[in-house]
Amino acid sequence: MDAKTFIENVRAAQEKRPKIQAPAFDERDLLTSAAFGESAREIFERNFKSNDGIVFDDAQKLAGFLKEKGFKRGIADAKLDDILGLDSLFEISRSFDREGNPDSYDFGISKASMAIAETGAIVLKDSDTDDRMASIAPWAHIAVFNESQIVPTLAEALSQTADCPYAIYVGGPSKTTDVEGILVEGVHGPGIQIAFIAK
Amino acid sequence: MAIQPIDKFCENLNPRVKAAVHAASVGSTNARAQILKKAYPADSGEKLRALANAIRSSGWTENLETAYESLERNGVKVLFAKDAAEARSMIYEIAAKRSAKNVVKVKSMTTEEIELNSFLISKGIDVVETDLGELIIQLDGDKPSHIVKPAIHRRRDDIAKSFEKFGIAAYDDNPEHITLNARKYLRKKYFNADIVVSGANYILAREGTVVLATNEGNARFSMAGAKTHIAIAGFEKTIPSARELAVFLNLLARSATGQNYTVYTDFVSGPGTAKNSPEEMFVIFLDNGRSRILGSEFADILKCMRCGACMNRCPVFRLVSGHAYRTVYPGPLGIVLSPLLAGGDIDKLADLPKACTLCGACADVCPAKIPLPDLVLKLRDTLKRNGAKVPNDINFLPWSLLASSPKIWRLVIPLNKIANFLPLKFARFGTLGRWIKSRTLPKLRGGEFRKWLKKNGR
Repeated sequence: MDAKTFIENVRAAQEKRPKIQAPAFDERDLLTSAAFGESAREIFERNFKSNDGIVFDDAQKLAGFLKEKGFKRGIADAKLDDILGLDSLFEISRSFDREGNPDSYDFGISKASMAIAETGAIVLKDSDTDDRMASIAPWAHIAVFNESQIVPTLAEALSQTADCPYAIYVGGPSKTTDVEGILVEGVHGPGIQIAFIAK
Repeated sequence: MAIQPIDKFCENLNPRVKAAVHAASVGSTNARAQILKKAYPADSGEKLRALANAIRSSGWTENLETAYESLERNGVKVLFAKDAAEARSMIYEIAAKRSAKNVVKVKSMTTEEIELNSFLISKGIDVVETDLGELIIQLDGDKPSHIVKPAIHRRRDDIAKSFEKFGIAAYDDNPEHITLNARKYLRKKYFNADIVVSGANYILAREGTVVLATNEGNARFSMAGAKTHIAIAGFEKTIPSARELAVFLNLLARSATGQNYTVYTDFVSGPGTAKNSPEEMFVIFLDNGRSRILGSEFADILKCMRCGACMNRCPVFRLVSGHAYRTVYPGPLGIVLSPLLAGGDIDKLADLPKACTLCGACADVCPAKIPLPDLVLKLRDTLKRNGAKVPNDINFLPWSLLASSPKIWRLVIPLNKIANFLPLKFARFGTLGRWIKSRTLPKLRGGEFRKWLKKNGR
């Protein structure tokens, strides 16, 4: 069907409806109880952890955690400049080997564009990403950002999201309850989701 | 005597399935109430629900026109399908032009509605559902029985059996291992995918953005794997802008699964710029009866955000499970929407609006405050007036005579005490037997309430 006919059908139907003004609302009405706390960082950490996310702000501790998990290989997104010295301890690739062995990466590390305190989510945008695979294919994912990139509320994050062809909010590890309602983490994406807040 | 098809289905339902559906529905209902209370201690989100309703009470044409313009500006090819058949052939044509052999799907009720999978498969295209629940049911040709939890009726042992039968993994019924086996299996599918087909939870008109909510991350993986992305959505999924989206995201996951938010929320505004991302994107707006519904007294049903809260809360759904409704959309949503979408075939589904006690619980939990019981009543009325044939149990005839005449009712009501002395609970057969099986009659008091009301009321 051509666009014009389709839209005219909708218009004709709408004209049978009473005319109602779109409602006005205040962003403050949308705030959830999770949006309150001492600082944006404190709120983010609390909410991200309650989503089963893990927070680090010390590169050595992060490296220790990854070692403890027995990880050997990682993929560091090419748009991330500072890879936190991980290349001295792990075998790090800077490009994703889709054809060869795409399942060989234990962890991926990439740049987050911002983080949302109220929802405890990190935001990944194509504009800060070289390859989407680094954040979705490996078992663990580390998103790196600065404290100043944490926005306080969902409403504010939404006003800065659609400025790029693709953005995604990530609130913790990939999960499902599709088998008898039992929670399992790590379905297609990471079973371990880490936020690294750089100093 | 005629038994309604839903009752018949319920009688033959496996007791374990029945128990599982009941438990999951009750669990989701409770989780929803708790999390809304926690997020909005003052009013449990009441204000937000009213807002969600109001935002979707106007502007369909304007939103659609703006979305069309914005999407094209973002480099998205926009198509318009008047019905299921047209939508299916549009998608097939896109695939055929690219000689695409492998399609990955991101869970979408709209694609279930247009029966896309079987169509593409009949054309020789490999189609794989990537949501775990959808994959489970796709394997053996089963259908979703819930719009959010499609495999709510399946048990771990039979899932493990079909994983073994279809060569995904050796038999292992541990839910964690089932998930891991699906993970391994789907990985290859993502890397081999030519096209990803998704629905849309919302489309932001001003920004020209398709919003997808998933927990598993399958949308992102699909959109990293495939070179072409096709999103299909009813035109009513369009909302004015990202600003309004905050209202809906704060309600959607809380109402659906009792989570604050889904783990992943994707915002897709066109072909990707990162490596391993779609090079082209299509959005197909679907009508398939929606403009007819918009122009009718049932327009409110188009405010639905497909969270499933109504069915989780519904006393009928909890007993009969989703497949009893014979259509893609079960529960209170389905008994209104499915007959309306059926168009000329509406009479075949004329029994559905009867699967309702008019208790009103669905309207209490609907995040868009859709007046579902009102719509059910209106639809019963419309169907009756249009002469639709609904199988009626003849044994209810005396009851309907009583209940439709206030005079006779008043006359007979003092006699109802007799029922207290009848051994009704031992009834095993016929209408009464079926009725008693899942219900307990309260002690009848012969019109005490009417006497009390006459004295104290008014």
